[in-house]
Amino acid sequence: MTAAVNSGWPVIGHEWAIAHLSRSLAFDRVRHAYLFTGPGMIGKTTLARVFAASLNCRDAHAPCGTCRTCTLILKDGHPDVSIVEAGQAGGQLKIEQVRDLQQTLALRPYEARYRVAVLRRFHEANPAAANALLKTLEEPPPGVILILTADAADLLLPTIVSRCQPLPLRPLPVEVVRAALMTRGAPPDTAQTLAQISGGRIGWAIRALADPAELAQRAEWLDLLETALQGTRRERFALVEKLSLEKTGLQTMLDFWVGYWRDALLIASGSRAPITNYDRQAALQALAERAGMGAVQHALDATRRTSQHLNKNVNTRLALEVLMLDYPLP
Amino acid sequence: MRVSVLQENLYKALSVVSRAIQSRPTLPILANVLLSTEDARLQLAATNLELGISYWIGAKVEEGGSITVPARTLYELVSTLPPERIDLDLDPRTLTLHLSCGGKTANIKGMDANEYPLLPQFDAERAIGVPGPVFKEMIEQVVFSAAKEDNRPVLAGVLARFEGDVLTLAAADGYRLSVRTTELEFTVGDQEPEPMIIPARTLNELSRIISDQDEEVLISLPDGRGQVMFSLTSALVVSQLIEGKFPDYEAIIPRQSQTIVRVRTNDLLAACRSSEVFAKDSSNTARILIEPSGSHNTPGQVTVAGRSQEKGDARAPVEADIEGNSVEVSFNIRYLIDVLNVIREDQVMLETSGPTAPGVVRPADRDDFIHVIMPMSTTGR
Repeated sequence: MTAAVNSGWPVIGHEWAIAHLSRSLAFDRVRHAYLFTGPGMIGKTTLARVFAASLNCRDAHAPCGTCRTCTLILKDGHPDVSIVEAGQAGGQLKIEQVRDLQQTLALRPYEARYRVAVLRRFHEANPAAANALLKTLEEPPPGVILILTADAADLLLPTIVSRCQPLPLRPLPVEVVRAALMTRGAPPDTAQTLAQISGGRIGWAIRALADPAELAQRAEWLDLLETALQGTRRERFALVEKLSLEKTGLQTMLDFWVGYWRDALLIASGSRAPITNYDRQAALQALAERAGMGAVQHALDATRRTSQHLNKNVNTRLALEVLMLDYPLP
Repeated sequence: MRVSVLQENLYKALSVVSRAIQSRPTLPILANVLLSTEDARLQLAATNLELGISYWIGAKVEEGGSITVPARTLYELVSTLPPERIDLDLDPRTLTLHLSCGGKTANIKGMDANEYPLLPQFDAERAIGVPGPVFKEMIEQVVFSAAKEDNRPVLAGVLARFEGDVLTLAAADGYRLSVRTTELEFTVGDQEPEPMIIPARTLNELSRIISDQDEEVLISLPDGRGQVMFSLTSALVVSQLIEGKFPDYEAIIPRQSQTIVRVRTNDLLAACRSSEVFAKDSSNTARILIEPSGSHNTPGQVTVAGRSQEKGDARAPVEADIEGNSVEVSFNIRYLIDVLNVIREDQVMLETSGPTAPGVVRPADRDDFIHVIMPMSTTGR
């Protein structure tokens, strides 16, 4: 079932991207820069890592996954593969990191064929860092391949996007996630629950399988949203004030909120598409009926916008307060 | 792995290889030093992927093997041990290195040596030999001219080129240029390697490691790896090369100059130092007044003058032989001091063609070293 079997690439899902990349490898038409876009935790960096292994593995069926090159790359320990990212999710990728990377890239590969740089969550790069990368993106030194990952292409400078080959990745089908979880030893009903709730974000599903705290955290965030929606403005602001003290995880929280509003929109519009947060069906039904389609759509847009704004270093508390004003009142 | 080594040898080796370890390594394993047995020797190696240093010490090897352990930890520990025999014993199951020395014992947790970046093998067959002391001097004479930080990575390196029986090292940072050549005792011939750009940091470390025992430095370029290796008596230094094309520096070396000054190196250096005291407040600008002698029995005079708006000024005149016109130029005094510091000859030549032309500094009666400094603009002063 999993793509790992079909393609030989140890990546779950993303078949067409893998097909495209392995074709370009086979015909020796590898681009100098790629941009993998898609929601968080759907496997963009995993795909980048495996692609880096394929570029450098000397086995006929690259990536073999067993040679020294493959093992080191897949565990982020290879001297020729640099992974650059903001210190934490929701942080900022700084110009110094880009400069350091450029110093590294100026050297020829240490032991592999290509030097690969993976710039994760590049939408978190501040404008100075993004601009500093332009020259390298346009004309990297020989033997250098750059892979950028980001939530969406339109969060990046157009000058960055136009210099890369974009590969938009999608959340995986629930079925694929479920099968992947079962091969990892999840009991069928747990696999089903996690796959559905994950909304196709395989990374989150695997993490939640290993650590039940992830699931509890999600429940806590969704409870918080539901409480806020029942409350007055004053109560909402009190909730947000507490929330804004948390530095990490807010981005993931907003991802869940986006999923929640998306479900509400599906219900409000009468769509038959399966909802993600099926364990909250009753609350969602009530919300959709009470607020109506216009308000739900407005709330969804506002949540998305807030998620982008948080990346751009706005005041967290103010951003969340504005978001609360955008949500329909009980 | 079970080996015995002497504390002072291990300490020396660790102090050498630790120079290749960055304070914030890009991979966790790069904070480690690789220990690996080899006949009757123990090899210690460290790398930051740009610069790698291996060092061999004599050892009594009872059982071969290899391991990597955190370099800082080992270094700090060994520095506290008495100058006696250290027994190293590796538990391969837990990857723990057990040390004992003079009754003290310690256990250091390591990482698998297989995960360490590959160290290239030295190919002595195809190596080019350069006398150690000469090479050390060559490095010292050019490396300071390389850019410390630059958007153009090639300028952070030193160009090394073999042509026939001549080795040339050159470095430039956009404001100054050093070129040093030496004649080898043989012709490199058809094995003549491509010109290469070596990171200045590597050469700095190399010149530090070259000791009086190193009569010859063997230079070798493994095929297609983009690396250069320097083999010394008990050490091997490996450096990644910088990709790119070094700028054509020949074009900026003035063919001839209108004013040529011959002056005692130490006198000029002392004069520069006096004016630096004030010049450092005005972005290191110092004026150099060159006045040829009026008659046959009075010598010419070079005056170095530094000035600070707040603190005052200094003038230091130096006697000199001067050919050509009287002229006044401004230089970055720091640059002038840097080059005078690496000239061992008694006398030095200073050549200029006016306040906007590049100045040339070179040792008198030698043509294997030349240094070019761009003048500073003094308009509006």
